[in-house]
Amino acid sequence: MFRPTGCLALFLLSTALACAGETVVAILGGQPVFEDEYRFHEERVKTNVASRIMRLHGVDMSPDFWTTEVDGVTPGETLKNEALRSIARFRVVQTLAVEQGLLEAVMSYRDMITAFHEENLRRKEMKEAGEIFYGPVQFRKDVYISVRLEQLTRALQKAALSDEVILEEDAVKTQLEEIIRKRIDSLIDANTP
Amino acid sequence: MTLALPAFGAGSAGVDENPVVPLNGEPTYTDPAEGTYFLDAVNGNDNNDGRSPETAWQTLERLSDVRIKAGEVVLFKAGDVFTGRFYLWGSGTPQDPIVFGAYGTGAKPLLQGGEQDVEVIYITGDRGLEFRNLQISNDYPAGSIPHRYGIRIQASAGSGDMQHFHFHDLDFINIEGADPENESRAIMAEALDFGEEPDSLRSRFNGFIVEDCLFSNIDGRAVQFHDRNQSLSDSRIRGRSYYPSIGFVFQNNTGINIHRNMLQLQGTKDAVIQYNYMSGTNEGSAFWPFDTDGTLVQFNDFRHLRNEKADSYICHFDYNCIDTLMQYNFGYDVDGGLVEIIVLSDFSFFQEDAVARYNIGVDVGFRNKANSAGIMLSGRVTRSKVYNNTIVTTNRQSSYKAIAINNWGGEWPDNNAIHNNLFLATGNPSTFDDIGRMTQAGNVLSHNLYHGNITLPGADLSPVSGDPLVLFPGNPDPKPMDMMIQAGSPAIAAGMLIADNGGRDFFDNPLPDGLVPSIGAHEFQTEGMGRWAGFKIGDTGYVDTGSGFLGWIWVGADGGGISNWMYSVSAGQWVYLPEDYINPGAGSWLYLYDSAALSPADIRGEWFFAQAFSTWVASYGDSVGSGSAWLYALDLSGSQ
Repeated sequence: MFRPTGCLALFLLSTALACAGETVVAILGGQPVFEDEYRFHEERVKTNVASRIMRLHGVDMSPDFWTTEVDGVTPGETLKNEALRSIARFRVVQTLAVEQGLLEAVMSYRDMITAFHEENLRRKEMKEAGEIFYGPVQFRKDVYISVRLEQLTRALQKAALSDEVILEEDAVKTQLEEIIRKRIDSLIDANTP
Repeated sequence: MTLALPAFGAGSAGVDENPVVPLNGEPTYTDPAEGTYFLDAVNGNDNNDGRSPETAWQTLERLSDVRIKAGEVVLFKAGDVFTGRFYLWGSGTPQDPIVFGAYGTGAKPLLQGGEQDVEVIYITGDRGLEFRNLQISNDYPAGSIPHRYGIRIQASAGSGDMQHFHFHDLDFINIEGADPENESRAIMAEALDFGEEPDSLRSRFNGFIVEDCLFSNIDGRAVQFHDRNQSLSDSRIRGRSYYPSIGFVFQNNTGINIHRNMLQLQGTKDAVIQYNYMSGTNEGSAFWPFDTDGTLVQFNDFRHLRNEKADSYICHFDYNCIDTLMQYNFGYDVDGGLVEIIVLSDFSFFQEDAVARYNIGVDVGFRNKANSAGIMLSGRVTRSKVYNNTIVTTNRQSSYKAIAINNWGGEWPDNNAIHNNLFLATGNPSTFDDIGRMTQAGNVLSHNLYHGNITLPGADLSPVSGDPLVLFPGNPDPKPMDMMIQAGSPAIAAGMLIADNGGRDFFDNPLPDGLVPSIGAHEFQTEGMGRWAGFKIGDTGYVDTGSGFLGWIWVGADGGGISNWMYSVSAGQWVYLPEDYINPGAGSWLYLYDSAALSPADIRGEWFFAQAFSTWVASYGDSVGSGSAWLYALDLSGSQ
């Protein structure tokens, strides 16, 4: 049986989803990366990527900053890679949580955005009703997603700490980050055309 | 049990409340037409006039050369990176502040310190300033500068009333210097100690607001507000005049991975710290006040706090404070504990009238040191009240402490009260440290509930035991709602009456004056069915019962006077009130209001289910109308 792989799979999936009104910019772990998700993560890492390149290589921002090669790679390419790694982290942490029984299912970016709006609406209504709640009255989108991922990462660390083998917290954090990094590498290497 | 990620929120889809962020697009910022000066790191030029996006300046240093006037607006281009620092020259007013913000579309402009820049923005003596929609970083851990800052503000002698410093929607990410002492700050505001000064020369901040900001990866403190000029301790210890900073508000901020503290506060009066979320310290509490007067800390969510040496508490009251109130805070996985009230018993240091109430701590108080406990008082702590907090521990740490009383030599805590707190040790042991001190020096420990792997301390004058029936004490992703108690809990109506209790529990349930409270942070409710405590009628309003309201019908068996009997309408008989519920010292509900109204034949009004008796009883109301009044259960005081 013919099974499309690699770039062909991306082409077919992209075409199908594009027909449905969605723009797919990449495939990670067999799942499409839609443009809005990509743009969100790109924006999230953009200035930090620029800052790192400027500092490491002593270059200034210029009109062609993102397209001029630095050590054989353009900052634009680095930005794209970093944005995809940010997306991959979003998915890998959730996948690990599902595997550990800490989460029922991986949420897509759009599911997360829906949850973000629901959370803010809930908080707004509670505030207006004079009810007591805790934490911010309204989250910003990027802060909400950061908080959710941080909570899941903490939960994964807790799960590892509760294993029979007692590990120090710092050791668990280091090991978990290594696992996440390898999974991200795997997703990026295997699926990015 | 799984972490139900969507359960963090609930309800239907809403709208984005941030006016500058469209629902499905990149954020856009201030309309360029509102700008006075523009900076564009890519296309700008410092030889331009800076007055339009087309003639923008390029560098931060250029700003140091211009005197900015009140009401002017300085805008940085979105998505750009500006490296360096600037020294602010110019002041605004509360009515016409100088505003720093962003223009264009995309990521917030990043202002980052260069390798030799101690701070990104330096302000001294100027005021009337607002900062919005900027990202600020300053990190060179391998550099030569020990401590780095994002925004650094210093009030020089004679600065007077430094009005209007607002920080809104800023992202401080990566603030780190070279010093291993971890003392960098995202925002540092200082009014130094200039000694006793005439009125014309003294300095303070007036109107300092930090809100909707993100602090992430800060190798020190996110915000340190450090007014040492004629503060409370200057006044009380050194006899100087009192000129505290006022109008300090820190709210709606998020902190992730901050080495020491999200906020350390000094020299304020009536500061408000609320609605903040903080996860992850290595060496400290999320927040602590020092040398402050009347600080209010509420509705915060502080998690994963650590310090292997000391502190690291959810509610941390530090030296030389009076009238600090911490309430309705939630914390989880905090090695220090839930409540720490401390002061050195030396010199004339003081810590007076602190109140910690209706807070919840889960898995707290597990640092293996004497200075760690669910509730810890240490040193010359006077007249503090710690009541109706819930502390739940599990088996995730090897041991916990529930209460610790300490000092560092000299005096011990005196005249403090620890009441109505719920200690549930579901897993590994929870112990006490020098708890006998709570029977000395006017201290009182009573009406606390202890259950699980914890012993009832002899120092508690009226301990309560039994499973408090906490809803989900072992939830690996604990939320406050998990710590609610259920019907039949021995915590219900078992507390001691506390005057001026704030009127509400952690979950917004009412605490009518004079009503015997439950133990812990949850005042048990059975909405619509009544209960021991008062309850809210309906979702939008209340029933005004008038002064003649009798919450529940009960009469003395002999037709008058105090008795153990109450009439149950549904059972059609009198029910007996156990002695535990007949405690004249604990509430007003035993006093007859109007014996003529106590006839069972006169019953009208609402019906309630009495959890304690598993039977229906009825209330009596003289009038029904609108207004804010609580229905009382077992309250015949008629005072509402």
